[in-house]
Amino acid sequence: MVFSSIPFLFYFLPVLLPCYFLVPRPAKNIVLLLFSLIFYAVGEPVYILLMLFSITQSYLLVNLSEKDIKRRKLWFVVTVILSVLPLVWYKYAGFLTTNLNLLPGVNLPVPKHSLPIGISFYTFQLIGYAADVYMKRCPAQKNPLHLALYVSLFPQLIAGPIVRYADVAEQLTTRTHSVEKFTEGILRFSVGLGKKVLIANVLGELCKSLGTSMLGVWGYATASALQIYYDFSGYSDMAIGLGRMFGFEIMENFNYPYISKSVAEFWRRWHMSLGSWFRDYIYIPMGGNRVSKPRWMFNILTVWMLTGLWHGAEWTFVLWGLYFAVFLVLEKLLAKYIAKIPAVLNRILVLFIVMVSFMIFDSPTIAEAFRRVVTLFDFTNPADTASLYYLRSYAGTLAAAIVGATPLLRNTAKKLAASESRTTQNVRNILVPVFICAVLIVSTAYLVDGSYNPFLYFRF
Amino acid sequence: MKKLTNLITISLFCAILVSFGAGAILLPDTEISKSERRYLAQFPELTWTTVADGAFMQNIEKYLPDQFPLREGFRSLKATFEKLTLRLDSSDIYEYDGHLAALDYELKENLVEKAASKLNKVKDTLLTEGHTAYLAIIPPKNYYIAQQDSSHPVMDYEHLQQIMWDSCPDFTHINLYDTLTLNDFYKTDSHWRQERLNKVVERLTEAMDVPHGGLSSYTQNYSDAMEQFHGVYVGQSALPVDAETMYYLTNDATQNADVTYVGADIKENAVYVESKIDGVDMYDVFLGGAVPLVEIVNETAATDKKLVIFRDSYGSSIAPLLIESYRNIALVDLRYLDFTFLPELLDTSDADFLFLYSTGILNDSEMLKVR
Repeated sequence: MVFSSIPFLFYFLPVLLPCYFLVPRPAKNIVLLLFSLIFYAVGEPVYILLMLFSITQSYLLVNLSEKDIKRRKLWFVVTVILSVLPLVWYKYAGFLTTNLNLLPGVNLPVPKHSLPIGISFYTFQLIGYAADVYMKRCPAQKNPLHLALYVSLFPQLIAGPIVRYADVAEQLTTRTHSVEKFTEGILRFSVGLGKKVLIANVLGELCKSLGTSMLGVWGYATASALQIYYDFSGYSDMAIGLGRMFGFEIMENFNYPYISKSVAEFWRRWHMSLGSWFRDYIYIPMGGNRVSKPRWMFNILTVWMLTGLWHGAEWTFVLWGLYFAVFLVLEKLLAKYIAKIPAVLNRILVLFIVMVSFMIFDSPTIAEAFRRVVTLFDFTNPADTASLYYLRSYAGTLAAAIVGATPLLRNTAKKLAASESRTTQNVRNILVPVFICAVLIVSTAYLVDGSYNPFLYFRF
Repeated sequence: MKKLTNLITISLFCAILVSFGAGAILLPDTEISKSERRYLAQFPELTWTTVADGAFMQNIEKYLPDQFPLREGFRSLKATFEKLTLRLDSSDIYEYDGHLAALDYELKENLVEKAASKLNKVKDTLLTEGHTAYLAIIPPKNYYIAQQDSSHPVMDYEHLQQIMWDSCPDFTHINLYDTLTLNDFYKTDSHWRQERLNKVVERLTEAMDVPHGGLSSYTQNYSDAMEQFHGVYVGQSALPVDAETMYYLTNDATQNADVTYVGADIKENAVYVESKIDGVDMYDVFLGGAVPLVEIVNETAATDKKLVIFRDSYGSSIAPLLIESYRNIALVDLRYLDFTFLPELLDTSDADFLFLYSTGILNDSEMLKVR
């Protein structure tokens, strides 16, 4: 089930809301846990057992590691291995065996199974939790229901943000609910719904229609970069909004990444929960940048290769990760020269680097990725009529997407909210419910009529 | 004031979710969407197996949007919103001078060549010596719009026809491209208007060397329901456009002809199947629409000639106009009838063949059951 779907919006949510708010406080977590498990089970009826196994082993072993001080490292390693194993089996076993079979004399059977939804996200949450307890950043969770709720909390379960246990541990027991918080949640959810249904899905249709001329490929590169941003950040907005409706403060995941002046800054603004996870649990434990230059470069390459692999078990994802690693290393080494480049040029350069990265990300093979990138400069085939037509036809959505990818609208909304003028306040008070209703109704119209509604980040 | 706004916001949000959700449960399910001309998804089978393998949830995600309250209204709202975002089309349906037309610009040369080889195979297998195979291609309204407006991508229809001509050298080619204009098509549908096919009939009968009196002697008919014709593009696009009138032409030949429908549940033996007027597609009034095989006998025809028309839906509306010229006409739809079964159903000896296809079928020839 996805948030931007009729079953979720008009059945799951309207049933959950009264159940949650009508029960007494001690029962709220049980209701939320039950509905989260139902939410997961309707999409993955069988794999729910796998998730429950992961939660159970994590609960037992992390508590054990806290009690059994002598062997805490052993229990920590065991729980990490048990958390990672299902991910390796379901996500990487096919990729590993296919590549091992390329070696002479090797002919292993290639396992073929579907990827359990959200496994990459909840596995990282469990590893993070075990590491936080091991590093004594927080105590182990004594209540198994609370740990289960932390992992399976439906707003963030299947596509993040990758919530840190330490960030929500307290909220599991002492979160507050208010009309204001609930309204903010609705507003944030509506923004995300609009981003997903009215922009990302529409740009997805554009991507499918564009031709293979130079113009078509530039259009595709631009539209697909915007699509993936609106798709994923829209999902994160919905997750944060839903969390807030139920009293949780879920961490931000995006901060206008396309205005970045460097690749490093881009990754501080894009999928922030994943970037910070790799920084805190892989990069820094490896020594981060407080090591020799060759070792630091090795650390960067390792972390970014893993980041690529996290997104998918394909060589294109490995290349994608290493591609960013190269630019991050170059930025660091050439920092004093880059500082002299005007900010506008830096922004354009970063946009181009990111755009090309998503062409690699989106390609079925490395060869196809190269072909697409080369077509960006194929002056022998400058334009085709179909691409010209579709770019004109989707110009309104593209323009809205470009403006929406900058902080312009957010800053205007903030100014409106901060204004003490009575008229401005009244306008805002009218605009908020009107905006929410309009987004909800128009998005419903698209959902009722449309068939294109995949979440791009579900495959991770 | 802010608290009041918050309460109003929450109330509206919840009211929308609950009212539409409850509406979908309380309202009876609809079987057919007449505007989209398709069966709507029905409540899926609910068993442990379908739940466990995920089929139930997959099907429910199709069922709920199909049975959503005010579905048609929501589809229109989407089309209207798309217009506000400056979209030039709605679900690949665009508007030009009051006409709706489908974007269809990719020429699949390999499939056109496959179509030609399929038609050659049918001719080589079934046509008896001394008889002629005619080939005529019907261009879509896009072809005529492109002559007046170049803002939409358009297929090279001339090239498509040339591929067919070149690949079917033993056929007598009949060029219909210059016999039609944009106004010879329905504004809201892909099909041509029967009452405006005078030039097409003239070109065909001249080429096939049979007499024809022209369409001026025919009577133009329509019923009240036919004044409210909304073509296929209205449903696809959900754009709010006016209805138009569908006419059908009759003369003694069409009135007295004996018609047999093979492979379809049509009891009437008439050229115009009036029971189809209120059906999913009003265009099915012409010879029952998608029927694998139709046989027409006119004892009072101007000639004793036999004609087999291998056709798509366009053939349904033009065939009645050829009844006065032929004693026997058979219409074969190769999309629904495997041609190897044809000799068992129809005596094709001593017949001329007319292969009359729209560009859409030739460009997507996988659907022709000729192997």
